Amino acid sequence: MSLDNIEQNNLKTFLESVYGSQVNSWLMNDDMFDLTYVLLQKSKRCSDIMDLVPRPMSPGKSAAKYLTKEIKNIILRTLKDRKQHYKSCVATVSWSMKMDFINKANGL
Amino acid sequence: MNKLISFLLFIFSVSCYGSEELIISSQTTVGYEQPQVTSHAGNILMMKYDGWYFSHEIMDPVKIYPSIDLTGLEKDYVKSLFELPVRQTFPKWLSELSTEQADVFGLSDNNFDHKKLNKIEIYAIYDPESDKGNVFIIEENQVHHLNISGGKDKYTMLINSIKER
Repeated sequence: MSLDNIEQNNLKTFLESVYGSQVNSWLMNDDMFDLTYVLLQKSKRCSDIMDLVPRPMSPGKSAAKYLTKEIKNIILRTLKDRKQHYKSCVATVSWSMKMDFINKANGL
Repeated sequence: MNKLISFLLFIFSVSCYGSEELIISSQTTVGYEQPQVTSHAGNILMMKYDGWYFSHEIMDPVKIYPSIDLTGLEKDYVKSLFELPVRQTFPKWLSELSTEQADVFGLSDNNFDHKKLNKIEIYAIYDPESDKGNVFIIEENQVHHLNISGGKDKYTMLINSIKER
């Protein structure tokens, strides 16, 4: 199920805190959620939020499709409410993944 | 006749390979082959090919990390990712950030490329796990960041195509 308006806004608020105002033109869809999930997964210092995810989840599987709506909701609300913490813990990985986000946003 | 045409096509394609020149500053150019897609989003120019791409941007020290302003430190910060002695001159928090970033880029045990030309210095790392490379060109007043996603051969080709003007 695709992200609803509140989930899209929560995702955008978090990504804007990480990548700045360019995020305003990005479409907040399942692909963007999946990339954000990878960003959190690769950021070892963000392990607390990954504890919300039921194991095991196969590598390469779409998090947007695998996770229940309730879990996605909790993750996105947590990212928005604690964006100061999470933007800091993803800082180094966010630099290395910036082009992935920009390419996805531009449909490339 | 067919062999002659094939030969001429081969010669033509070889002569065109990397024949384009991207001027990224008054000091530096990057050679490239004609891309399938060229994209310019924000500060980033991207050349996309079949199965790989590279992008270029001038590093903005305010936008590298959220909430951290590296203005005036950007050259040393980039060097610190590759050179431990530079990292050791930093305050603890910045040194830790550099260590973490180096790890994310796949740096370990001098597994990077370094070239010092007359006016520019190039630091580059290719991470075979992610098939991604990060190339930094340090000039006197700015740092360029080339990002590549693709095979090691493309990464090597990109580094070798960087020339001084």
